[in-house]
Amino acid sequence: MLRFVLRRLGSSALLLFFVLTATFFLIHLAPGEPLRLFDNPWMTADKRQELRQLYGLDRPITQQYFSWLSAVLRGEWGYSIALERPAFDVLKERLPNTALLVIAGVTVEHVVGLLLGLVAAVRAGSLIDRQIRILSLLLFSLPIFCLALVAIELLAVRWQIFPINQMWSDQADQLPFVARLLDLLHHLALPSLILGFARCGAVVRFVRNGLLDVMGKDYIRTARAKGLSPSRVLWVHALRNALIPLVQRFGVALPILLSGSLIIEVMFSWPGVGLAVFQAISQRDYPVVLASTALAGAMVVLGSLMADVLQAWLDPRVRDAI
Amino acid sequence: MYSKPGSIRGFEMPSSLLLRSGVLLLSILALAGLAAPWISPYDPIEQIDAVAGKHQPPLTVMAAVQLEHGRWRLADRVERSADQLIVERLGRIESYAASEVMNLDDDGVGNRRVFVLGTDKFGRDVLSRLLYGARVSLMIGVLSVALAVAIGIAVGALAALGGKWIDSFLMRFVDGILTIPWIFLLMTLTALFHTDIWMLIVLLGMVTWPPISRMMRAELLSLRKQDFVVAARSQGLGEVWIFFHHMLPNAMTPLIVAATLRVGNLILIEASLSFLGFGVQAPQASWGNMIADGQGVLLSAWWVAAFPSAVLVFAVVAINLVGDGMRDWLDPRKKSVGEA
Repeated sequence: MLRFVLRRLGSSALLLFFVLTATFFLIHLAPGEPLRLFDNPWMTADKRQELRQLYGLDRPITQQYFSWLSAVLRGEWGYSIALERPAFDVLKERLPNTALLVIAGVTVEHVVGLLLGLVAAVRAGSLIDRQIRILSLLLFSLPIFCLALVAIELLAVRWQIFPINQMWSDQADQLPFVARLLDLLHHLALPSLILGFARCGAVVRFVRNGLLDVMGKDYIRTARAKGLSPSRVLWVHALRNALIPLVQRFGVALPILLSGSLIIEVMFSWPGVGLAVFQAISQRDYPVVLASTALAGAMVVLGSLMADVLQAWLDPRVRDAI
Repeated sequence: MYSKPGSIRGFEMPSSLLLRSGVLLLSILALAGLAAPWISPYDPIEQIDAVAGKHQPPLTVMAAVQLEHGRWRLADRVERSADQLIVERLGRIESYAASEVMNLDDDGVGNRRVFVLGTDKFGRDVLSRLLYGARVSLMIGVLSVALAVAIGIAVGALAALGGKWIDSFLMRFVDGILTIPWIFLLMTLTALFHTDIWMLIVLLGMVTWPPISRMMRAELLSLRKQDFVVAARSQGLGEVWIFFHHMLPNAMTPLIVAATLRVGNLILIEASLSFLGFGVQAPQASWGNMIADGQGVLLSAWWVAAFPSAVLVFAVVAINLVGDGMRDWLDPRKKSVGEA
């Protein structure tokens, strides 16, 4: 197990290096160089040259790359032009907010997906199975912003059950701890529910098909032949084995999850990394763009590392295969 | 229940029916998109009277008054008197001298505008934008998948057949690309490139090929050991010949299914980007930026966002139905999920 983890750690570090490199070169080799982000009618040739020197863009690309990479490794991620603060500090305070939203969303996604998938599999072929499958196809095909538009308009604007946006109420910092926590949960509820529901269609499918697949396996027949109760066969023997691919899926689905959370962050003004990069691009704040893309890449690498380790822990065959 | 072998299959949705309805839906949308310049009632970006035509509900009929210098006024009602035209516009009565109005006829003006699906905030016809949006969205989805499939086949084949080193290098490269959160990168790159549609297709194709190449590689690796490929090789046929005549045709089945499902995925990605303002740029219509136009007026002018959302969901559902249906049809093994 330890060897497996070490090995995966090594390849994760390599992946992270790749992501940083690719991000840097993609942005720098784009026609018109990064300065194009500053384009405006008042830009003169002199000013452009000045900016080019300021950002070190007049040096050869390889030299820029190595100095950027060493700065990133030292934790110096450039200086935000719009916010006049180090980009790393901006992202550092945004990261927990994104993590909170993503974890809440993933929890909703898997709880709802598991429940619906389980019901559909147990009642395979019934009316309810059909309805769940149609629902999951619809959710799977529905863009997350459509769901969010309707939910915001109805639940937040018309009926005012949830706050429209932001993470805290005004003056929430003066509230006692418990009230603050409740305030946060109240703000978190709608975005995480939308994030979870918009993505649970695929989980329903996964759980349903996985369970049906497992139910036909020999060891289930054996368990049943031993006289175990149907519920024990389902919960202990079938579900555990059906869930392993779900863990594997999690690692692959992370980039898609992050893009979903970006849209939700933008629509709810949720102060996370996604909103930071959205604003940075709109304000032409190039160091933050570069830093947050790299950070998001790092989050994906870490997430899939966690998924792999978890999967190896659950399934000995994976451990031995590598 | 699920314990009886064979019982699951009977309960599977009739996939051929779903496949057929998916194909039908898609063909209608594709035809509508292709024929958009001929069948759309009006110009999708024309704002003939942004003030009076703003947020008109579906099935609104307005009189279009043409003034000098190509200016237009949209009116709820017009009435012709001897030497002038009485116009009811924005709840007020205005009058124009007969000489001012270019399209005057006996009982008013000659032109009318029928907004079947209503208008958006600039008084543009939603139906026309929807049709042109279908053209853009479907074109981006199909062409970027085509690009991704081409790159995916090339890289997958190179990895599977090019030897151990090339294989492990290419697959690590694919792992790396899969790690980059595409929306961050796409947003940045579209902002940098000042996107037009062709650039968008290239960028989307670039982020889509890695999973396809991975699938292609796995498929080719298993085909390489199959008896008919070994037999072909033992007959002395060249590797290139074997690849194109024996392996590629057999690898196409899963590839077509995956590519179909990707088209739906990419249409959603394009819509998300356009919704955020980074994909197809206004005033050009795409379903994504039309939905963004309806943001905030969902209760007062629901038609602006509702129709493009509905069509978007229809399109993606149809593509998913076709993809799933094709998988069941082409690969009967997958159909019998749960059979012992």
